[in-house]
Amino acid sequence: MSRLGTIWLVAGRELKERMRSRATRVVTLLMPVLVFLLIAIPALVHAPASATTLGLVGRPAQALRADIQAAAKATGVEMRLRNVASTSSAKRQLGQGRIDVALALRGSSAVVTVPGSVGYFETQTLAPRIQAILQATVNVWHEQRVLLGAGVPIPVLRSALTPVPLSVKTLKPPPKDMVARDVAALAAAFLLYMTLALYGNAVVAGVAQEKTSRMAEVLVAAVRATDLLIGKVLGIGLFAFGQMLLTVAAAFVANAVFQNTAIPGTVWTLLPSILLWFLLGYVLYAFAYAVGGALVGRQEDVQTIAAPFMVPLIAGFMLTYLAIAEPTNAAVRILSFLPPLAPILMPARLALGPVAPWQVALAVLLTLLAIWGEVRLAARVYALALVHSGPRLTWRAALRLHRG
Amino acid sequence: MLEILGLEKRFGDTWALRDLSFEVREGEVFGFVGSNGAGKTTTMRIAMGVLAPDRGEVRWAGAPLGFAARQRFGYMPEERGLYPTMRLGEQLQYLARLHGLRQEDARRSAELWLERLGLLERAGDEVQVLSHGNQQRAQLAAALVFSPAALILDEPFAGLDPVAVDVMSGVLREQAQQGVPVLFSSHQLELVERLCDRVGIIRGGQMVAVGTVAELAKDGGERLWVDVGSDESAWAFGIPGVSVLRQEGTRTLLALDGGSDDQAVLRAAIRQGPVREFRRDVPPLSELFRNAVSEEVAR
Repeated sequence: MSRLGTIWLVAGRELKERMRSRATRVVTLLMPVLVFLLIAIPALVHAPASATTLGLVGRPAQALRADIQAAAKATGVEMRLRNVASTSSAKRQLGQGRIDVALALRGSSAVVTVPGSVGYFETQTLAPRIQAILQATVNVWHEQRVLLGAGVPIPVLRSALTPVPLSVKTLKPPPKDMVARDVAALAAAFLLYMTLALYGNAVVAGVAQEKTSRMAEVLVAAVRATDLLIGKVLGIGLFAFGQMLLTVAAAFVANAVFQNTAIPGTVWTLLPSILLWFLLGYVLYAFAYAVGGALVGRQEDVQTIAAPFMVPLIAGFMLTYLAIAEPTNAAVRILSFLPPLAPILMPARLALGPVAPWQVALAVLLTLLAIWGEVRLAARVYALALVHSGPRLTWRAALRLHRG
Repeated sequence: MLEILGLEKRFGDTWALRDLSFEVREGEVFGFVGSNGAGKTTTMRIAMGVLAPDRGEVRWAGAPLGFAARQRFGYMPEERGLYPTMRLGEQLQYLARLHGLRQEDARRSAELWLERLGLLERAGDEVQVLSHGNQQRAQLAAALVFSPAALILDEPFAGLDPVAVDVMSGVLREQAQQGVPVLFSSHQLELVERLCDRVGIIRGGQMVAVGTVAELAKDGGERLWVDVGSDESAWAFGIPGVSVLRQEGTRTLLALDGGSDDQAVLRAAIRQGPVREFRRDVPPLSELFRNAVSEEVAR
């Protein structure tokens, strides 16, 4: 069998064994479901309020229809207007939920009626924005009545009561989708941090099981240690990639269904970037994790050996907050080129805004170089440590093995 | 033929192997015996490429043993090595494929060995749920599933019941009859004596004796059991080159130096009285082994 065939066979076993595990199957299904719910629940809880239906009671109130519509449009409030013949009819319709608010004008006074308690849990009082619209319209109606009574000519009256448009100028307009970008950056960093830690631990556990069960001793006669290492990393990686694609797909489906967040255009370009950096990050971390797994003496050592890898992963995730707070921060920019941090920080930066192509290329190049050096060292240390019996090896002892 | 030539290995300040050499011929079952820590496992791990020697080499069919040739070796490590959560049948097929068999051949071979070792009904079970004995059989199946060119088995009989011992012994003999060199280590010396064509005794990382049990016994000098109906052995005193080893009832065990005349012993015995027994003694392997170990202890 060719070496490529052997690597593929090892990877296939990893993939198959992982999918055979009931716990893994449950997690694979749960992760997309959880992400879907995480997006769906806030969307359902904070569902945008439906249009307010205002009942205009009697002819005087109905005469304000055009003014109320104009005020609602100006303030961006969706409002439906319905003519109601009498106060009693208005009360009935409020009770039936056919209208939300009723406006009646009597003499010089205006009366607004709302249902108040609706059922045990729900209350329906006058929303501040609706109140502001009605107040402004009633004020104008009142001024018109007073000024007309004082004999002010109608053209003068119209001119005086026509609102002056307020022009707002912003010196540094923030991007329209700034919040969405921040959320995307944080989500990307979190997703990468979680998946790299999760699958890195899967690699450590897999290698440790091979070592502690002495399977490694049987395998090294049949498979070159390098091929075994690559096959294992590839198999777990393929599984991880599949799980991640499912999760990301669930997020997009949920977003499309519930439309709770306007997906910024950068996210569509961010998706391939997340996948690329997951791939680079996974390879970078998985080989280091695999060597870690080969150092264990007992299965219980797995957590201890995996702990140091969490430091750069957590650092990368925490620095994302700094990047969000200060997108131009020089330290974050420089750190985003460094291989252990780049897989989390660079996609986060890409989510926050445009990054010069040379910067992305440099980060990719540095990560690839780190992977190249790491794989060369890892293959040798892995081969020696994997069949080393006795207590857990320290990293220093493992490197001594390497030097011979 | 598998040749172990001048192997040396040190772990820190401790010598594990010192100039260790022996060979296992085609179709031969070679028993590798020694005290705990004598160097058996280290030798086997070096032969399988798990460890690298400091000096010396392992040769196969006259050439240095490389990865391609070693891929055709069946191996049972001292501490059993199988994936605990993988199904037995799939695991054997996987190992067969890693050793170069095609998918269909791997499936057929796995089934064949599972049936031969009485594990066919357990093919769908995870290895971790099998009993110790069945795991041992599974490990042997893993070493045989790709029709190995040589077998290196570290303590294959440890913990097996008598029936399983018979099954495993039968399989090893069968493999040897097909020309496969079989090297195995064991502390069950009676079994080694019964099963092996040749034996090697290792002590402190050095091979102290290699050969058939008869050859090893001969190296220790000739021994005779003589029964002259007397519970005293004074009659044997004074025979040149002869010493009394022990007295059991009316029987006396004598050691003859190289070149001493057994007929002189017979004449002396006849002079003593009617000779009821006069036969050459072949000490069991356990005794030969103890002698070797006691020399070590004496040192």
